[in-house]
Amino acid sequence: MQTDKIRNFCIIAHIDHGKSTLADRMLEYTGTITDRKMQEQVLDKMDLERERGITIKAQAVTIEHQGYELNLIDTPGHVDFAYEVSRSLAACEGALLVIDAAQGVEAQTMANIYLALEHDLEIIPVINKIDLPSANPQRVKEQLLDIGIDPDEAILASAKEGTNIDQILEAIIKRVPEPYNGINQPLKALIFDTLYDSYQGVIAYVRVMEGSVKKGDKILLMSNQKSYEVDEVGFFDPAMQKKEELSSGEVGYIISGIKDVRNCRVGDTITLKNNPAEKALPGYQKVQPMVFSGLYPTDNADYEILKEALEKLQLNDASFTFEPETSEALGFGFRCGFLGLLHMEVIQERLEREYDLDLVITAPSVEYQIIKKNGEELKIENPAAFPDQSEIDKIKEPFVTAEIHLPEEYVGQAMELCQDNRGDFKDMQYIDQDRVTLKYEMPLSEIITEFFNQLKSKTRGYATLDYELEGYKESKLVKLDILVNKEVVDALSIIVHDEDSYQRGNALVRRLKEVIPRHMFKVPIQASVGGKIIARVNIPAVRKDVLQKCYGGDVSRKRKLLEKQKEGKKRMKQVGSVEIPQEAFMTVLERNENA
Amino acid sequence: MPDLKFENANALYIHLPFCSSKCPYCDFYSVKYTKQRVDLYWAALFMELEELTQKVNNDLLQTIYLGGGTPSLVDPFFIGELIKKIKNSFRVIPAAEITMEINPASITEEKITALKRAGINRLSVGIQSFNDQHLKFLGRRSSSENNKRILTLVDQYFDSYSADLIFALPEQSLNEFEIDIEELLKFNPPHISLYNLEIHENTPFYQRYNQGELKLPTEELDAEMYELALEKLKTAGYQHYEISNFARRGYRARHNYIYWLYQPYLALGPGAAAFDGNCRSQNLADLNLYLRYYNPKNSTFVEFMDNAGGKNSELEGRAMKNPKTKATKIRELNCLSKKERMAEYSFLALRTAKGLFYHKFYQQFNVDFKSLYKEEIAELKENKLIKEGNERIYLTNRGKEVANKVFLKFLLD
Repeated sequence: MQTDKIRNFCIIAHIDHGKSTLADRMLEYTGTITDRKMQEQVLDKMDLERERGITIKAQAVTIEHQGYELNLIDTPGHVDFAYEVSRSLAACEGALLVIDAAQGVEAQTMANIYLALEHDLEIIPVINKIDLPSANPQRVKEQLLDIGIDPDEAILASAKEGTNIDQILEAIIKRVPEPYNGINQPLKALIFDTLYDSYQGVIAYVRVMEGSVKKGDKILLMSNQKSYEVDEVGFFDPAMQKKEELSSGEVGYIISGIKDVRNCRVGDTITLKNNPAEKALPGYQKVQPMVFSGLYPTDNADYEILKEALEKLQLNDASFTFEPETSEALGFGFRCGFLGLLHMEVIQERLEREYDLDLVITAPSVEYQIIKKNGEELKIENPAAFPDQSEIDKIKEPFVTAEIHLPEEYVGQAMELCQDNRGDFKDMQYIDQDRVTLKYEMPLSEIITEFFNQLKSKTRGYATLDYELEGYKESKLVKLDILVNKEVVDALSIIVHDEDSYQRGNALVRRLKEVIPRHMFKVPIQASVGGKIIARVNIPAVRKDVLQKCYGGDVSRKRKLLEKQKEGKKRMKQVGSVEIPQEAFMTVLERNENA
Repeated sequence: MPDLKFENANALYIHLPFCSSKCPYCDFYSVKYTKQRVDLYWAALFMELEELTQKVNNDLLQTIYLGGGTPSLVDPFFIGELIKKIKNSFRVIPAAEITMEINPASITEEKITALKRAGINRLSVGIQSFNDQHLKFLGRRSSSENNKRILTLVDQYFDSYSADLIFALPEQSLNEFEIDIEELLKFNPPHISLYNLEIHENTPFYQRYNQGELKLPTEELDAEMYELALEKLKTAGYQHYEISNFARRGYRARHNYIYWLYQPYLALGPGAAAFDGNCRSQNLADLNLYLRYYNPKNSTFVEFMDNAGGKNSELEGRAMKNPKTKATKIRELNCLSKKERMAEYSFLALRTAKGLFYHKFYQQFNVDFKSLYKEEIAELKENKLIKEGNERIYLTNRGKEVANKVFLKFLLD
């Protein structure tokens, strides 16, 4: 295809502003998908994505319209996947900026605009959901003007009702620049996503920037210098369709017998082995997990099933890591690394749903850098593995820049919350008369606890949060241990700031008192730092537990109640002589303000 | 459908599932009382009784128990007819204990005397409390004053009777409970049952409890109340013969004792459970179904309704759904494994003050209790939850308070 007949674009939007619905409508309107029974939001493939209304993996589809080839790249919609988003944007020349006519500009709208500008994309604003009674397109236009986008260029649309889809398609053809024509140069194809197929191996989603690629070509992955022979190239309609050749400007896929996604990383450049490009495309990073937690099967017999499940999930997700780990309290499990909390939740949910596993999950942690007094440097993401306090010289932890976007009336509450979570105020900007962006520098470890939930509740759900890793900084951190019946339970240890240790220790032991059932004996719960007890509560012994009435009709029922009680005991983790329920291991996360 | 055959049954339970209003803590099966429903029910109950006589062999009834619901709502005349019918259908020993539950809100002196004439010789009086606020909270329609009046009457006409109290209510103080006991002891009833408030699924209290509206007393206060009761009742001369039951000499509930001794019992009425020593069969708790199944004229239910001349929206609603069919399934049969039976036997026997006798266990199961539960017995003894003596084990006072923890040990995998 001639490059002047190609347009590559993405859709960027704040969550729930109607990105996926708009994509569906465009596919319908252009006849790309004729089946009226198509499931809503074709591009979000996983059930989980559909349920949560978010895109986790990038998708692509080629739309034919009026002799043009319009390539839509649907990007992940969450801060955890910021890198993937940036690679998707790098594959485009233009972006549809979808804004909810009732909600107006939001935090992610802004973040998306900055991203699009960074990638030099032509932005076509679409004011969506004009069918809503509460729609106020005029206000959105004023907001656009405030942020430096020409409101006259905005298209008013309703993806739900299919209003003005033609205008949007026309704008894409007219306003998105045609891709650079580098057909005579050596191949440079940008990988913006990968998918693992058990028959075909890794399917690389690519945008060909320069040159061309066809079946039989010997390709070279520029980051790791691995080379493969191309089995198949093609495009998405949105199913995979074989094609002779992918050439400069086009979007499609390459299959070349790569067996491991880790050898085919998002952001890498594919070139030809015999005629390689001089330089790879800019912006490649090997993404690293930022959040870690221990995953343990509740039933130790499920260890192998969990292992297989993790291996399968990793086939499709190079950013997710795991390695075996042993806990005294929980037995054999895995320490897993995730891009962020959402990524963690998604993986956990998939394990529980797709593999029917019952898991104990330890509180998420970040990776700490520890410099010991003897000069040794350690990277540790499991609090249980921390060296003794006396051996530690310095501890560094990851910091992020957090951007919180919220209505002005909640600013006080949000600032207080940030400060409580060791936030360092950096900036505050008004987006319009009543919307504010707060910028804080905060330790990542604070963000991955209850911060986001608390922020939501303090702002009645209006605040949104974005964060970006800044780097490591020294902090005065200590390891807080929890002792149950005088024994340290390794899976309950957390790393906290020295100043918070007393308060956190107290809150934690109180919370555990609520969660751990009474035993036949008194069970002390203690929090300690460096061997010193800083908080203690006692779970009193069972005082009364008797089924008072027991007559003819009750006997079976009473037996079943007892059996249930016995079953419940089995599902708990036995630590010494104390039975600890699964949920106790997650309470470490919670910060009950009333505690 | 497989059905039970009863050998040597000594007890009969009859469920009368009618109430004026449902108490929010109660999970026994009941429907709203209407005279017409009782009329229909009586005919059906007699039919089930007929059927039951066919399944019983070598019966010798020592106890009959009419529970509910609120049996005292039913016209004593019917009760008399029922007892006659039972005596005609089964062998009933002359000194049989024939108990009926009564609610002070639906009983009069006239009814009390009529019940006595009808053949009832023991009453179980649902007092629950002498505190008007607590009675209201429990959804009881009686008052403290009325409770006292009725107890006086019951005491006047009946030699044997029991009074129930419920304790460990939300916000109830130890002192308030002490007053309840003292009030009750003024009547010196021959038998007392004490229950702490339990929250059962499918009750309004359960919902309120889950929504955090009901704050039950702490285990500590609950235990203090129980201990206080034990002490007071002991001083007053009562024997604590089962976890929740107290009696003056000679006035134990013989009917309930049959349950605890794991002996067979017969049952009639929706929701009622029978036991033949191996299996338990429970009638489905559904009056409409029951009325369709036990249908005296063998007519369709709609005709039956017409003949009864009744109109009742709920009954009709059900009948309309399935107008011409007779119900086919009336009860659930659940045969227990030996392990289940041994566990049940153990925890029932341990509820009694006498406890579990090894030789009786052996008679029942041909298994040596001491070797079967060797470790459990040792552990429980060490923790002072049970005591061993004279070829038996029994709960200590601490054991009674945490009986569930003891019973758990006797469940077998």
